[in-house]
Amino acid sequence: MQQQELLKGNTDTLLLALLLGEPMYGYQIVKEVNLRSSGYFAFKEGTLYPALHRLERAKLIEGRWEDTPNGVRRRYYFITERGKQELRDRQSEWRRFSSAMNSVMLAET
Amino acid sequence: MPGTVNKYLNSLASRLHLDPNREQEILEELQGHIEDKAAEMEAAGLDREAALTSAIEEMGAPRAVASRMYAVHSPGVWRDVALAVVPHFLLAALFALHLWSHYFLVSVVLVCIAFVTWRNWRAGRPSQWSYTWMGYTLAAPAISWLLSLITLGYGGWTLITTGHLPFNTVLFLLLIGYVPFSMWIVFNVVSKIARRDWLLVSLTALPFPFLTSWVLFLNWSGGLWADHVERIQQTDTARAFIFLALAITTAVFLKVGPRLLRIGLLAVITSILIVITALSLPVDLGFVAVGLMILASVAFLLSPAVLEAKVSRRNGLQSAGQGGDDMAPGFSDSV
Repeated sequence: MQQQELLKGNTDTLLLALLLGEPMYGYQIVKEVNLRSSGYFAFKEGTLYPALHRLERAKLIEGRWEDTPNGVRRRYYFITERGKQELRDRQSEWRRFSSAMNSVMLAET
Repeated sequence: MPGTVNKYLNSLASRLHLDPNREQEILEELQGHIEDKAAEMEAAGLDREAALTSAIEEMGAPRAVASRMYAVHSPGVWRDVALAVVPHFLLAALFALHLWSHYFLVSVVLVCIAFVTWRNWRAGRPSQWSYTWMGYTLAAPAISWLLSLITLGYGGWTLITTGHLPFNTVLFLLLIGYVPFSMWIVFNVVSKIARRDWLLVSLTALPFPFLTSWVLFLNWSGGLWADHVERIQQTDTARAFIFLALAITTAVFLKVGPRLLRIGLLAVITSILIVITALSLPVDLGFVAVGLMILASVAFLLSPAVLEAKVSRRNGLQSAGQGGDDMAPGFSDSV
């Protein structure tokens, strides 16, 4: 439950970070997040697609239909230049935030 | 496409209320996801039907998914907003500058609005900004229908009680023909808009209560005779403010995503503007009359949304009767 709460505020950043590596389609993103976080984060499909479409409307990513070799059409998402800049801003904010959190939360341990 | 997936996607489609091309893309993308996931579960040993059911359940309840997609895609871009508020501003200017009694100018404005609407609607795919333009284009047949009905009622009553018509028989016959004709025009356009989204009918009809109240006030004041015009113009400032407020309401409506917020906005602003309309009149209507005016206006504007809920429920019952299960057990709206 706590993971879902933490994920909620950081869905956009996670999606941008994933798409920086390579363009992906929705189902691939779900599996990739699950794999990279060793099952810690689990994207719910019902929230993933609205988040992807919201990022697309903000021009941070771009969706393109592509035909796969087995004849299935899939919508791949590509990060845009604006998306890359947004991710850099979020990454530097995250570094400051996590460093501050660590110094407060983990000070006694 | 398997029946379970088909039913799920149909249920989702009926709740999206978006541009048909956009809806098609969303449905195709989600269908691909469901089938990918089901194929993986099948490979892990689950049978086809159980795999599809499970993949659909994980996608989430159609209502919740549709509501999120609507919130993302329904807000208009600024260009749409800027164009949508133009007719409200034109009406506000006509009242602010006391120009409404210049019939030629008013006719030119109305014809221009109707022309722009026709240009945008003729291809069958109206833009988001064009619904307010359609509202003013429809205002002429809608209000003339109401006035014709009142005139017919008066004529018919006089004929029954006195044995003769208070006006020309030809006019009486023309009105009898015009009433169903104007109603047919309005009904035709409204049903076309409603096929996409009943809430857009509400946006289209937003100026109707205020235009109707003004026409009735005009009628009550003795019509458009020269010696009455100055007296009627006393309410022009309030009218200009009302149409300015309608422009702002339209802009907010188009920029906010959640559906409930849009419905609430229309209801609240209409109520406030009806009170302002009542206060601007040179007669004391009293609390009950103003309350009834608010109720009638809000009910009129939101009735399309209520009708939509009824249509969805009926469709749900029909699919249940056919053994459909578009809300399979395990769904909840919190995804």
